Amino acid sequence: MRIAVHIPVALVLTLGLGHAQAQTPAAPKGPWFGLTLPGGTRAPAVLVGTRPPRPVAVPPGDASAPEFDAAAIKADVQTIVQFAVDSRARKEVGNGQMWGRISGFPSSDTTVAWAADQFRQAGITDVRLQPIARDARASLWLPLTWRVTLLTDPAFGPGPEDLVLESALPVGPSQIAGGSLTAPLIYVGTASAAVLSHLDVKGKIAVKRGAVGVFNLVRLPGNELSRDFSDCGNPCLNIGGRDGWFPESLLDRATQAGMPNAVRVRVDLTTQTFRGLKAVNAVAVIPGRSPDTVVLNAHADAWFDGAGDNADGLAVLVALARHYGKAATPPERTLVLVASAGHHTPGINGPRRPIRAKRRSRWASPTTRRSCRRSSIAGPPATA
Amino acid sequence: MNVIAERSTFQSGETGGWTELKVAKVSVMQAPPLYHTTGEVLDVSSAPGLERMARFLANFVTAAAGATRAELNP
Repeated sequence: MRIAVHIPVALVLTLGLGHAQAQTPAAPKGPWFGLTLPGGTRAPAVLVGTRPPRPVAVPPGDASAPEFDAAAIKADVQTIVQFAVDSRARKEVGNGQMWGRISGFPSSDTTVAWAADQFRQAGITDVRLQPIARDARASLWLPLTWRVTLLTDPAFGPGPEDLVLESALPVGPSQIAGGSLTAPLIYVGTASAAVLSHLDVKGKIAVKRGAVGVFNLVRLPGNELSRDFSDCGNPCLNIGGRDGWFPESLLDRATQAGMPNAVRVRVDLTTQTFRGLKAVNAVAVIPGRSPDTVVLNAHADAWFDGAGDNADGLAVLVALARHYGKAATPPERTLVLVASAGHHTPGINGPRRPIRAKRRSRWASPTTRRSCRRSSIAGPPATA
Repeated sequence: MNVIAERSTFQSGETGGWTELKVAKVSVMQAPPLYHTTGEVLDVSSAPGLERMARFLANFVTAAAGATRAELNP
């Protein structure tokens, strides 16, 4: 369940002039009206304190299970995160500003192959990589390179230099003809109808009314790049917490100084729409005493480091593979473990691939099927 | 974690991909505020939390593997 905590407001890039009236002019006392600069994206949103989390208290009677050791699973999370970090270092997408374990790219396949290897090392003999044929109608839009630069003005104070908003992240399907756009900023709050009714929006504000771009100020801690909130304008960019606060405050100061239209921004952007991508799932089958099947699935792909979506889920799936793979007695039902691709890539539906494969050849390999007490391993009769 | 302890057609996370099977599905999902952001880094992953989840799922899966069909999909 996703918790909706993002509270976006919008800045709109316009080609027109704003109408806000100047209040009492304020003389700038330093660069950018003396505002505190956002400080880039290096400081993490969450600072981990020195007090450790509450340790695990294993209920009395639970068997010792080294495969569930907290440190061991965390080490696997680190391994999985590293696949994303590596993708960034080798600039798998564009110049490395966008990264992850993206299905259709080597980082995802490497992650799935690692999962398959872990399944095998867990003692599971029936482990396969399933190629996924992507829906030919699907496409994946990705930003390759981008930069959002607030342009300085001598009226903003002594000595300011242009300022790059490092947390800016274009969202699909943003495009800029010619790759660059410079325009004044206008603040539109939540951009609701009630808000826009107070603004001179004709031909300027919303995309359909002629605006040339939208910034979503994502109210999150820190200064993180954020993927959500797509298709809000063309181009549309999400701006992280501290970076978002800065132009909002700058517009206030400029308006108070009688320069409501002085804040200008340049957006540089190149993108690519990918089609025909390919990916793989890892599927492991642990024969049970029953032909019925329980499927355990964790998706392997991710945006950015993706520690929580879904490196931790995949690491726990691997821990479960070690738990059931070493079991002296088979489970009652057959277990099928799936490390799937495509959760974040349109047209690559990882779970659908094993379902369709099952219809053709059952879950398990012939060798595994012979090892079962019954003649075959199948899912529910309704679809088997 | 938000637990929906009743039957629902809502399909969160990865469960939608398994719709064609027409069987009971359970999705375990914990979505922190920094979901889908660069803030989803290793440091914010709780090691004890991972162990708790693994142990819970092992119990859950073992119980599901031994349950009757009626118990799984009443």
